[in-house]
Amino acid sequence: MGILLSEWSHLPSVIGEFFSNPILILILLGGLVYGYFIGVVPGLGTTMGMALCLGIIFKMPPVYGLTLLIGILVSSLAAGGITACLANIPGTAAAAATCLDGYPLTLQGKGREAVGYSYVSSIIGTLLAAVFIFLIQPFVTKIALSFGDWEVFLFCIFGLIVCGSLTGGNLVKGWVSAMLGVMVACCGAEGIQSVMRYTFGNPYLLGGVDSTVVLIGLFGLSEVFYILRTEKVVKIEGKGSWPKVDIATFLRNKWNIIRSALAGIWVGFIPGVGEVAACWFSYDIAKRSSKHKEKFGKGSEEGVIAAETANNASTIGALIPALALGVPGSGSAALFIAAMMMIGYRPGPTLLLTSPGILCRITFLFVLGALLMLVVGFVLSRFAIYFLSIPRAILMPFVAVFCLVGAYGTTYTMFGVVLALVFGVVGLFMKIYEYPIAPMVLGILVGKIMDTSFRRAMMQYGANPMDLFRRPLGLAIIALLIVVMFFEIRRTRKSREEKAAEAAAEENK
Amino acid sequence: MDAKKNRGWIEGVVITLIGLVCLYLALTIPNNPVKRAEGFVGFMAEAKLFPLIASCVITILGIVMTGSDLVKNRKAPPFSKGELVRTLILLAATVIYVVLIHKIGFLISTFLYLGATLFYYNYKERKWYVILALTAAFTVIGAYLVPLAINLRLP
Repeated sequence: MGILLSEWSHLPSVIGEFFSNPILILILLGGLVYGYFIGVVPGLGTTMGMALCLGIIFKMPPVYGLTLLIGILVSSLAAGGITACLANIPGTAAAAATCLDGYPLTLQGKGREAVGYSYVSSIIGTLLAAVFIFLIQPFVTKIALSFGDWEVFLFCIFGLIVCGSLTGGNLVKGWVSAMLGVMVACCGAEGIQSVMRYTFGNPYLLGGVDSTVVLIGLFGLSEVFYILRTEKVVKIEGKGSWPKVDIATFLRNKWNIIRSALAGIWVGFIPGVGEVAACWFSYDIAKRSSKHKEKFGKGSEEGVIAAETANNASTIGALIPALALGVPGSGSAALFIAAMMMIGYRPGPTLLLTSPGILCRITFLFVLGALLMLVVGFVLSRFAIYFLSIPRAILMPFVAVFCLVGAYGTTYTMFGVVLALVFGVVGLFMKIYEYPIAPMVLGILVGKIMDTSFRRAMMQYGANPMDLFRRPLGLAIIALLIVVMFFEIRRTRKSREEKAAEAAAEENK
Repeated sequence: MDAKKNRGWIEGVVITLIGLVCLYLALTIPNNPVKRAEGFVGFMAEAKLFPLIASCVITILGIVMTGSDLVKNRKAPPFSKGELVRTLILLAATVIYVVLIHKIGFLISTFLYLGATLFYYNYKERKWYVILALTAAFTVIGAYLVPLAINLRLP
C-alpha cells in the first residue's frame, strides 16, 4: 500500500508538467491522429504503427517519447474496430471479433451506431484497464511468476472451446476451420528445438506464417473477391455522418462492459496470449450471458461492445507483466517496453524504484489520451464513415491495393503479398461454401502458443507428468474448463432440440 | 440423389482428402533432435504431435461430413456461371498485379491494376475519364502518399 501511495503522490507534479507544456498536448494529439489512421487502415495495426515511429521516439526526450507512444497505442486500438464495422475488415487483428456483429449492424443501416459502439467501448476499456493497472501493478509480481507453460496451454484450450459458439450453427465446419488454423499455425521452425514443419524448403516459411498477413487475406482480400463476384450492388442504408453514441445502450450494457474489461485484463495479463484471444474470449462470455443470444453474429450491440472493450483492456492488461517483470503479454506490449528501454526506462521489478512516478505518468497519459480520443475519434470517424456512401465496385479494388500494401508493410517481402493473396482465395471459398472464418483465425493465433506451451510442459514434467495436475492454478483452470464444456454441451443440445422442434412444426403446417 | 446432395458429398470427400494430405505431411516431420523423455511422454513432446492431432481431426470431420445429413441437406452455394467468370477475371487480375509488383514495383502496377478493375466493374455506370481520375487518385493515395506518411518503402 505504501508503494501505491508513493506513486499517487506524483500525480500533482505530473498534471502540472503536462498542462504547463503545450508541446506535450500537441504530441499526444499527433499520436492520437496517427494512431487513428494506423488503426483504420487494414493490415497496419498497433505494433506496426509504434514500430514505424521508433526512429522519431528515439530522438525525443523520454517524456515526449512516452507521450507519443501512449497516444498511438490508445488511438490505434480504438480505431481498429471502425473498418471492422464498416467494411468487415478488421483494422487490427484484435478487432477480428468486432466484424461478427459490427458489419451486420452496418448492413442493417446502423453504421453510425456500430462505429459509436466500437470506439466508445474501446475508450471505456482503456480507461477501466488503466485505472486497474495502476491499482494492481505493485502487487502483481507474485501471481505472474506462478503462471507456467501448463497453465498457458490450458488457457489456450479455453480459446479453442470458444470455437463452438463462433460457428454460426454448423459445428462440424467450425471445427474443420479451427483445425485448419492450427495446421497453419504449425508451419515453420517450431519454437523449442527448431524442428521444421510444413516449410517445403521455403526459407520465408522458417519463421512461420505471419498472422497479420493471414488476417489481411482471410478478412480483407476475401471480402473484396466475395463482394465483386456478383453484379448486384450491395446497398447500405447509411449516410456519411457523425458516429451515433447512444448513452442508454452503454448504461444497459454496464455489466457486459465491466465483465469484458476484466476478462480482457485477465487474458492480457497472461504472457503470450494477447489481445486477439481476449476479444474472442470476451465475445464468448458476452454471448453466453446475454438474454438475446440469437442476435449474436447478426448485429448485436452487446457483441461489438464486449469485443472492443476487451481488446483494449487486454492490451493495457498486457502491460502489467511487461512493466512488473519485463515479460510482455502481447506483441504491442513487447514493442512498448522495447521503446521504453530505448528512451531510458528499465521495465522490470525495479522500475518503480529507478523511475519514481512512472506508473502515475503512464496511467495519467492513458486516461487523458482516452478522454481526448473521445473528441478526436468522433471528428475523424465522420470521414471513416464515408466508406458507407462509396459504391463497393469503386471501393473494393482500392481496398485490395491497401491490403496488399499492408501485407508488404508487415513482412517487407513479396512472399507476404503472395501469402495474403493465397489466404484471400482460401477465404473466398470458405465464404462461398459457408465455412466460418473466425475459428480458423482463432486456430492460427492460439495454435502456436498451445503447441509450444504443452510440449514444453511435457518436457519439464517428463519424469512424472501427473505432477502437472497438482499445480493449484492449473487445477483451477481445469475446473473452469469443465464447467464451460458442460454449459457448451447443454447449449448445443438445447439448440438442436429447438431446431428439431421448429422443423417438426413446419412439417405439420 | 439430386445435384444438391451430390455437392455436399463431394465437399466431405475434399475435406477428408485435405486431412489425409496433412496427415501424410505430419508423418514426414522429423523427430525432435534431443530427447528429453522416452515412451509416451517423449511422444507427447514431439514437434509432430499437434500437426498429427489436427490432421486426424480434419480427416475424421471430413468423413463425418461425407455421411452427415447436415451437409446433404444444405442448399447449394450460389455460384452461377456469370459469377464464376467475374471471380476468375478478378483473381487473374490480382495474380497478374502481384507478379507485376515483383517485376516493376508498386506504383505502375497499382495504376494498371486499379485502372483495369475499376473499368471492368464500372464501365456501364461511369464515364472513362471519371474512372481514369479515380485510378490516378487511388494510385497516388494507396501506393505513394500512405506509404510515405508511415515511412514505408515500397519496391
